[in-house]
Amino acid sequence: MKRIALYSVITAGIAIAGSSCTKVLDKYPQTQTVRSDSASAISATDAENIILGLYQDYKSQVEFNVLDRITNGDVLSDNAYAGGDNTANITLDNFTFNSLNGNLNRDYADAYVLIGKANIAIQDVGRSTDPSLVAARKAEIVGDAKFLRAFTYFDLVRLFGRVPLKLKPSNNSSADSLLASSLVAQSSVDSIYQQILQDLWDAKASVPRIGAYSSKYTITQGPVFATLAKVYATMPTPNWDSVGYYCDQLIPNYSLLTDYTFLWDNAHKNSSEAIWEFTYDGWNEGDKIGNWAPSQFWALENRNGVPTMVSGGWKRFETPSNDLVSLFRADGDSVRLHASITFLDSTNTFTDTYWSTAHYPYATKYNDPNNGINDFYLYRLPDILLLKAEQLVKKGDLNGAMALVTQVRARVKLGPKTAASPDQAEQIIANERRQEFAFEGHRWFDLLRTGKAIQTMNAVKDGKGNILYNVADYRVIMPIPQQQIDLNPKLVQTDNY
Amino acid sequence: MHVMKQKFLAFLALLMAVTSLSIAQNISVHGTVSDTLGNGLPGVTIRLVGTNSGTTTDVKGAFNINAPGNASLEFSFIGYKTQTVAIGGRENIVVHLGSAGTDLNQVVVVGYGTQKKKDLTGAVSVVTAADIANRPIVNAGEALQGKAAGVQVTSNSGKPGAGLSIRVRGSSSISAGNDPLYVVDGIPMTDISSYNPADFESISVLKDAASSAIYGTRAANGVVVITTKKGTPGKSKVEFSTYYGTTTPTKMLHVLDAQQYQAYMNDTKAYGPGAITDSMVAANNINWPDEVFRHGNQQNYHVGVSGGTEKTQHYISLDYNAQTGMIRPSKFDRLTGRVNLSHQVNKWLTVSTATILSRTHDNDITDNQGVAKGGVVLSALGTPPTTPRYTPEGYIGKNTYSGWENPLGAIEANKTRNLTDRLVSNIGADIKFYKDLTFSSRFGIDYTNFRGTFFLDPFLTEYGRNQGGSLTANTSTQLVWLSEQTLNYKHAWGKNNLSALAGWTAQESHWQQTSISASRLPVQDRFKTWDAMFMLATVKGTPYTSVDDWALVSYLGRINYDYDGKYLFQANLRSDNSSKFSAAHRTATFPSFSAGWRISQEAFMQDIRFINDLKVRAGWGQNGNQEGIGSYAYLSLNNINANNGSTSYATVAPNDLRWETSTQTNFGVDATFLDNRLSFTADVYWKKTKNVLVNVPLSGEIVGSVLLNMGSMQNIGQEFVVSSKNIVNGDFKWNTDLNISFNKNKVLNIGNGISFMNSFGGIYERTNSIALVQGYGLGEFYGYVATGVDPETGMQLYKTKEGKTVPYAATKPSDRQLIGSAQPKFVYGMTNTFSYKNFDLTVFLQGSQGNKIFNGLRIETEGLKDSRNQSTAVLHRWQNPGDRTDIPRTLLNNDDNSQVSTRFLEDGSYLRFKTITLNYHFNSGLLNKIGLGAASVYVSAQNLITITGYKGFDPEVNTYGTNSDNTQRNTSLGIDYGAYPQAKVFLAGLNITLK
Repeated sequence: MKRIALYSVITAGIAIAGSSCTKVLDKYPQTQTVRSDSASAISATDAENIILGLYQDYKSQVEFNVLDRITNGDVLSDNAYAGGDNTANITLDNFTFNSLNGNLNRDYADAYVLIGKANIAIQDVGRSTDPSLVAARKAEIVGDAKFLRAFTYFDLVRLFGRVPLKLKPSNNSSADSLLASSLVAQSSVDSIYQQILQDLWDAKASVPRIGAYSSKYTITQGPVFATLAKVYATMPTPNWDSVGYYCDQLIPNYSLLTDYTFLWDNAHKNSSEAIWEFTYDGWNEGDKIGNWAPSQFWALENRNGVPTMVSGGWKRFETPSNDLVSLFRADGDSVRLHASITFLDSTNTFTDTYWSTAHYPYATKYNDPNNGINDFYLYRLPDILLLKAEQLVKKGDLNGAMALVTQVRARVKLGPKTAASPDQAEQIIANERRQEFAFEGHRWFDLLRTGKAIQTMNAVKDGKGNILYNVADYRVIMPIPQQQIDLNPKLVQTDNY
Repeated sequence: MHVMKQKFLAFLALLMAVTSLSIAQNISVHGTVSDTLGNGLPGVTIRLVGTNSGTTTDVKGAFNINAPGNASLEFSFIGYKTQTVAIGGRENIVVHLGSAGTDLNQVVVVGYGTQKKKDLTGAVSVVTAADIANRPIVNAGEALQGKAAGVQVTSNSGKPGAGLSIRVRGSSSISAGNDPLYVVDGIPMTDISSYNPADFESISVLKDAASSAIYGTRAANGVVVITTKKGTPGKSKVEFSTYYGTTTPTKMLHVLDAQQYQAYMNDTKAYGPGAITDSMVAANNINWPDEVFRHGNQQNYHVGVSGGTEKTQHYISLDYNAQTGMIRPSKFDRLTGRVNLSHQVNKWLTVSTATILSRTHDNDITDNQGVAKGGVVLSALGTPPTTPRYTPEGYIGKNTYSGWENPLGAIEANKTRNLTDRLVSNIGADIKFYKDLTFSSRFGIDYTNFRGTFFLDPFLTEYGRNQGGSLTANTSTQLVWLSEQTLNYKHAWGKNNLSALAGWTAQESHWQQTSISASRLPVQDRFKTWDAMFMLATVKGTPYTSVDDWALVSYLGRINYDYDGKYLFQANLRSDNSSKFSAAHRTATFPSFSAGWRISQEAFMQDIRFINDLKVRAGWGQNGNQEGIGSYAYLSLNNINANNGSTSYATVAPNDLRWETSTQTNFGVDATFLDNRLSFTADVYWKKTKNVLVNVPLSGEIVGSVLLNMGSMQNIGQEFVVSSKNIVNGDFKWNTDLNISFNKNKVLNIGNGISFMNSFGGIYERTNSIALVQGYGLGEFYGYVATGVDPETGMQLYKTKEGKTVPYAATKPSDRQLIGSAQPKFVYGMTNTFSYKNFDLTVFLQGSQGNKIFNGLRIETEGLKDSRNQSTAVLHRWQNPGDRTDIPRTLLNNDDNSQVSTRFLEDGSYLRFKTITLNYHFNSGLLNKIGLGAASVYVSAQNLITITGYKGFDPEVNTYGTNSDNTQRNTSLGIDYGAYPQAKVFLAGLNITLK
């Protein structure tokens, strides 16, 4: 009898346990949040956290947004050699890269990570119904995300030409829909530029006026106008009137720092000259995001408490080229030469075909390889002044153009320039841009914009006067990384690769 | 679910009602049961054949039973052959049970119960305590290597405490887990590294779906069911065993000495004359591999106390294992205590518990990485002999040309220490309701407390000086509880035997981790304890916590039926509800059916004397795989920035994510011949897995890849086991056990039109070396075909698609092709045991055949591209036009000659003398006088000889085996990129039993 009673108790126990089983199965993450499809899910606080997160994601993507921007802008061009021992960089420098190049693959992938995050933010915040999210603020957040998306598409289209245009988050209701919405075919270069312009126009209308924020990282109309000016100058069919218009909107709102070296001393962050600046507080302060790119260029070692410049090993990415050093010297531009380059004795630490190791140049514009506190300028005033000068040349106003060049030169104690012909004026502007923006990731894209990439590269000489490169015409557009083609069968390789 | 359960209970009730046997003409039978040496065996189960009534022997092995004079009694006991004896009217019966060995009658532990091997209808491999004895096995998984057909075991590293990659019948997944489920004393788990193998009684590997389907969604990769030792009534025993051994690498590699290195560096094609000066050569000539690899050692001490009364049995053990690695500061030690108790409260209630408490402590060292990521092995090979150990300031010396510090940086400046405490305990009650019906209720907990600390010295290395040192600590706890309620019904009538099982189980896990970090430690404080240094460090990082929860609620049922032991049937059903999937996709049900026919029991076989037993079996079933899938993998997640609460979009996931389903068909034959001296088992299987999770690297997403149920995979294989008692009579005995397994693994479909992904097995500074290809197995190497060195230019030549041989600059990526597979055609093991009087000699060979290894070491040591030291192979490099050699020229900062190609692909086949042990048993007469029951001493060598053509340290390598990415772990097989080598161990041991 006892056992029968026990039996009943146990059977009842099993039944109860069995019926309460579903509760134990409902598990949700505690230390992450679940992205919801519901429109009401996004509160005003969520929207602020989303846009703060997107800002942080952009600048913490140092590899793509800073390091590879400098590699693509300066190493690909005549400003710098690859330096170091990294073959992906070296083949880019030598124009022997192919579709297996690791840098190109990570750039492509990293760009879409940022674009994808912007897409989700635009959708999430855009459909928030929380009344405490004020309409203007909501529009501004969406505008910020659209600006960031346009900025990254501009990077992609200049590097790779035809790329897929993804503007919505992937549909994750099932595996099939997720794949179908992720694997998109390429769009034409024109339609990519049209979308970039669309996003920039949307952003222009919803972000605050220049000067609304003290941080030059927070997006105002400044970075939007600067990108518009660049895009209009770079499109397959440039619109120089618009370039001029947006430059004019910008120029009165900014002023040059009195001393070029202030730009690099970490004491003049968010200055009157900066239009858009990735601000880095370093690993241990503020948002704890650091800029590690300078650590690839040179090393500063703490020797028994004394910071000492040490040279050698692989830490010499972006080695300044003979061509660039000659340009600085020929112009007597010692301010910008010394702000950009330091020569060190590196005997017995490596050998080099371009420079003597006893007197080897390092790109030292960024002065802190250890703490991650060097800011990175995406746009600063001289960029817009010189772009305006280009536009004036197009309009035939050579004197106006040279006046702007002279303004930029005066700050670094160099005399004025005059030009007798549009060609000469363009050459003067191009050289000025090289000296002003060395190691800021501009040069290759300036050569592409002005259509002078091939002729310039094939004329570059090393220190001994030998021609360095033989660049085929098709190499102005990068190959679509083979790995991406393997993953997305809709992708078509760039011609000739 | 409820409907099913109710039906099941009703069915059981019906069976009980119809069953009632009356027994006539009973006589009282008494007797003794002993082993073949005459020692009484207590606790032997005695069953009256054809009924469920019976008894067990007492402490002396004696028994008493009332039975019909014309009936038969069946005597069974774990580890011994089951014997059936006809009473034939006798009142006194003496039975000697023979040891089971590999005999078909042994009792085999299976899922939720035991079965006699002769009744098995599934494919099960068994490894017993005898296979583990006298071997320095630290992780029980090692015991399966070469001993269990169909199981491939590969060490990821020779590091003390390093993990194993265990594959049962091949890999069935691309991106989820491929490791088997472990069930120890009824508790399912994925990690058994805290367990002490000396406590194990038996290890059963459930290989086919028929035997493993009872574990449902966790069983597709096979189930390893482990039972630990129990006490034997009346046989109090105190065992002590110990061993001590030294370890050295199985092989050493040779690198250039200072003068040879100088010649290489000063070669005009490298750095040029004067790069390495004579004074540098005179100052330092350090053989860095010799500097790094030292003698390690391994020791073990074990005490086990077992015994008990008829009502209460105990097994208590204490075990300490310590390994000091061949590379400082790697080490591993583990202290394990165990208490197993069983008590029969009354006629219908038995309670039992099995509890283990263990503390594991290890010091880790980075291997399987390039020098740039701190890999100590590649640093040992690549650091120039002219690099000093320390600079005059006391810093770690560095290769000034590369900037990389010597391996002392990895050894002395980085300290990774892990401490794991684990408590696993279960408590259960078996309640006998009626004679045929037993209810078992079991509750278990598995609690882990982990603390891992890392310390980077603020003085020794350049990175350390720049960071001012750094300190991190991860502390985590995990509690898994299990509730398992099962009803067992057993009934026999006439020649029919029926047993049934129905049950409900629930398991829930809660894991929580806290991480803290700090940097900027004053240099004078760097020798203090971790905790003191953390307090003194001047900059603290943002702390964060993580939580991970999962649960599994399941129903299970099984029916076994046999007629006269001749026709055997089994059906299993398990229904799982897993928290890892969305509510709509949470439930999975897995059936299996199997049948066996013991042909040898048929009348027509009785005259065929040379066949003692012959059984054919067939099974079909399904099971699932949810291992390796994150707890929230079906949800799209955002990360919270612990610093300021901002949102970062982290993952994208399909809502319809689900488990993988494997369907497996198995045919097998078990046979014994020639007076049971020769036994043979063969199995063939077809295993097809659908909804295979593929971590699809997407082009153009916020994540590098998403986990999708897209693929399908196939494994077809054959396994053969032969056991032979070659010589049985006289003083000299010789047994041979041989097993060999073939498995052909094939990716049937990756999904969504993708037929090729070259995304795996990345080689630093080169390309990916592994492709996932539809129609091929996992671990396909992809690269160029190298066709030798051009005698004129010294450049490595490669084959193009058009069949031309050209230098790398003239190739296209599309010239790469599939160049070999990392998967072996077969793996095998052979154990020969010789005994002569008091001596036993065991020779255990194990090997793998037909697999390729990508020797990433040689990319580094024969790359001839920079200041890394090179192996002595480069002494034969091309130097002048006309040189004919297979080592190309030096080419500074250029990888053209060292691309991923067949140049570095090698045959990874090997045959290894895994264990050779000579054991001496002292005579028992002598021992008895000094109060000992048994004693033996042995000497043993592990990995003494390895026959292989592989040029690296050791062919047992798997650099990606410890990768945190499942897909890399599953696909990037057979790559050697600086694994800590396997050890050759010489040891001596002692076993003593007190009587």
